[in-house]
Amino acid sequence: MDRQRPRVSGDNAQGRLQSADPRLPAGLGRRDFLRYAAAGATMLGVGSALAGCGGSSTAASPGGSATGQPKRGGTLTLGAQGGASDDNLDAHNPLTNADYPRIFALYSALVTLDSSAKIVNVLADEITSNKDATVWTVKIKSGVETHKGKSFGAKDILYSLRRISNPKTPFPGAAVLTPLDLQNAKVLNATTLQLPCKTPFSTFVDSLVDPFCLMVPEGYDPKSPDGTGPFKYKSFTPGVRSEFPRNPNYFENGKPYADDLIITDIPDETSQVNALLGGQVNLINFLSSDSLAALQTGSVNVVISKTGGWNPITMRVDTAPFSDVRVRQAMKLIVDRPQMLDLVFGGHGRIGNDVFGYYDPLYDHSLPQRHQDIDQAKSLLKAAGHENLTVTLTTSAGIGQGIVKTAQVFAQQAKAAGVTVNVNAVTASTWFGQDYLKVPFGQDYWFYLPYLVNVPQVTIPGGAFNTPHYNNPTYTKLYKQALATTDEATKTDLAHQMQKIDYNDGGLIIPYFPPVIDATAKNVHGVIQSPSFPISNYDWASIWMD
Amino acid sequence: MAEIALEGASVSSRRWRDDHPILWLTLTRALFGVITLLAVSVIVFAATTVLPGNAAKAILGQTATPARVRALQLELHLDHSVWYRYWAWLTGVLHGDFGISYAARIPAWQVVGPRLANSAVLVLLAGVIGTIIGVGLGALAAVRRGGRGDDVLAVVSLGVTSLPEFVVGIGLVIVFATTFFHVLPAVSLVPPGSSAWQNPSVLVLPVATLVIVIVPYILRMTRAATIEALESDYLESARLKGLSPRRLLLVHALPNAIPPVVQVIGLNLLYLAGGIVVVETLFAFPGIGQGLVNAVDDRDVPVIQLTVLLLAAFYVFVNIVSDVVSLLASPRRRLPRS
Repeated sequence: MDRQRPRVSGDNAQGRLQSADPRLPAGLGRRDFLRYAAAGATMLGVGSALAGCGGSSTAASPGGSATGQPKRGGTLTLGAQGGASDDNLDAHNPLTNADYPRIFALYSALVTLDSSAKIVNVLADEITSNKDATVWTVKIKSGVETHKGKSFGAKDILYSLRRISNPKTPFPGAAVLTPLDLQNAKVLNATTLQLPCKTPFSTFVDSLVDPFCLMVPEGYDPKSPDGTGPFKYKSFTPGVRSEFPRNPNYFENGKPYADDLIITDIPDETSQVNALLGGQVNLINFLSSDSLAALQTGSVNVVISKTGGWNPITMRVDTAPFSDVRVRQAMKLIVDRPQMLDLVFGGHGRIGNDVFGYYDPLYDHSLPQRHQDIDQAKSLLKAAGHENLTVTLTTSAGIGQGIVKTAQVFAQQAKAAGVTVNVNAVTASTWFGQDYLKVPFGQDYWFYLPYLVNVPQVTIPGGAFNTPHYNNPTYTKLYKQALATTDEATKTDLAHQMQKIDYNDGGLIIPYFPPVIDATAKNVHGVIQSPSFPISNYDWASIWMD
Repeated sequence: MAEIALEGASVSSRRWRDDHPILWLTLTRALFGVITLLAVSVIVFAATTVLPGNAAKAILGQTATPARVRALQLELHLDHSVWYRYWAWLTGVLHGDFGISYAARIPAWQVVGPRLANSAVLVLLAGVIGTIIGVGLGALAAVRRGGRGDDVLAVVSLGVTSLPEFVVGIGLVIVFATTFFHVLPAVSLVPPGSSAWQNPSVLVLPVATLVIVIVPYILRMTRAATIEALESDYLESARLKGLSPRRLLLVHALPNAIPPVVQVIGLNLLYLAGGIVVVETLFAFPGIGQGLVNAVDDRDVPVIQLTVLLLAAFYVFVNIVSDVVSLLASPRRRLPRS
């Protein structure tokens, strides 16, 4: 109990600093930070790979441009990747990649990740629990107002949690909030909410980092969206464009800096780059490393973030040949990770070790880095009776950036071990319509989430995204124990035991943590390293122009 | 086809047909057009049904948990049978109701309409400008055939023909928008609520790309047809009669070149209607082609149906018009057969 992990208490100096500017690494003044950022930008400019996997969880170094004092005014125009006619503004139901920058502009979360992936307060002032993590108390900032001028408080938080978890029409965020007993939740006063849990829920604060857990006011109607985010709704056409003017009631003084935020869908990456170079937009997101050459003109800034997102190759542990752990281990040993990262992302990003949750303090950095070992892979396959194995890897360009290339590189590398991998690339609709969760050998895509928030979704039976169909009683038991402890050392120990199982026995190959590549016009500042989503984790309030 | 169907027709209708060949052609073609549209709607509906996945799963993507898929399927009435859905759609269309878009949850017409207007502007501008330039240069090349200008045009048009439209488009963007000059917008961002027509600058590069792509075909056909006319016997005698070269070309040669050229222009218009999707994607132009690609991705059947029907109707219309114009331009074929 002495080391309460979620550092969200408002009682110490560090907490206050984070409250004042949740994006700055704790203990760093703005000046220091800007100097650091400038250094990062220079390093990126010469294309040098930033230091690899450190032992600490704060390896995200700021990059991009952040010089001088923030100024008010200007119009931020994002040429957004991945929009389509099913774009929508529902805070709890983002469907396309162009929905995320929009919902993060309109709505606020209780907590978020700073540039070093530390959990910091946004709407929350203090979130505390009892000793066995069965009752949580959420205290939010006072004086928060919505775009429409309503006062925003504890009742709105409860409304949001209930809306997300509505058993009839659960939104994606319901998956990370299951232990909450919302029936018996109590609004203690205007800013304080008491949340009992059906089962211990030590990961409540981590779960609130989930992008599907944004807060909306009571009576929220997505057709006329009201929220507490830095920008407010003015117009929106799915698949085309949205226009959000500045929210003058925003709860952080002086922010946001820009007058307007316009988000325009640009489905094609070449068009995104052209729109930025031609000056029609001043921010573009989610680029592949193929665009870097075109952007090295000196007329724009490029920000390459080492995120904790992960693109696994998934093996169904209940289906032959992957039901044999030796085959799974051989597959993990086949991957030449540095080469894969070079070929898929031009060397940007960071190699993986078959364990997710990279930035979580619970991530076990002491597990030995797995390297390609063809001899070992061959002998494991031989022992399993699967020499000259032939498998089909089903994939889709629609899953995410670099996915199909990853499959192709894997197929190439597998040849050395005598394994034939047929890459079957299908359209996104086919993938999500019939193949996802079914194929024995496939791929998936995740933004960064803390380790124990990802686990119930991916590696526990009943998880909505359990692509490996993982069902290991020991592992599940360890997870339940971890949920029941608020003691940090015990929790770390349990998580490390689970990660050892992921590493040795699991059905996920995590060859790398991909970079997120964004670019901005020279006069756009404040876009820094992000642990998860593009454009400073879509922290629109902190981006400014001169 | 029309003639086969009419083999057993009565004498009076045959006379009517012979007396009004153009009206007859238009009416029969229109009738077959309607049948074609009906057939197209059945085929498209069947095709979208056999495609893997349905709208609910396609729209929800990775977040398609069983509970959410069921809720959305009920909302979109995907739980009914294929026959029922087709019948509901068809009766709706006959009442002027094209259904609600699955993805955007607004009437399909509101999704397709603005995009249709934008694409129509693009196609018409490219068609008109391309035709004027193509016919003009083609006639010029025919008159100066064998000269240096003719050779240059032949080489350039052959070269351009072999370039796909995205190469032409990217070339124009590099020159006029991003790298050399910054005079034109690199992508055609049209704010919703306004049409491409109100933002003429965003039209320049997409229209120029399409014009460059279609001009060579029209040019070469015009040149060939005009040369054929210029070298015919009656033009020889007209020339011997002492008519001016200008009058020879404009009054006697070009009108005879119209039927084949009109067919090529018609073909190019059809190409434009279906093929602008590449150009629309390159310039992020909010047109019907891009909308169709999105709709197929989302299995958004009402939007797919409406878009395809509009495109098919356009095909039918352009075919009828180019046949009628060809017929009007060749009096010989209009004469009653004995």
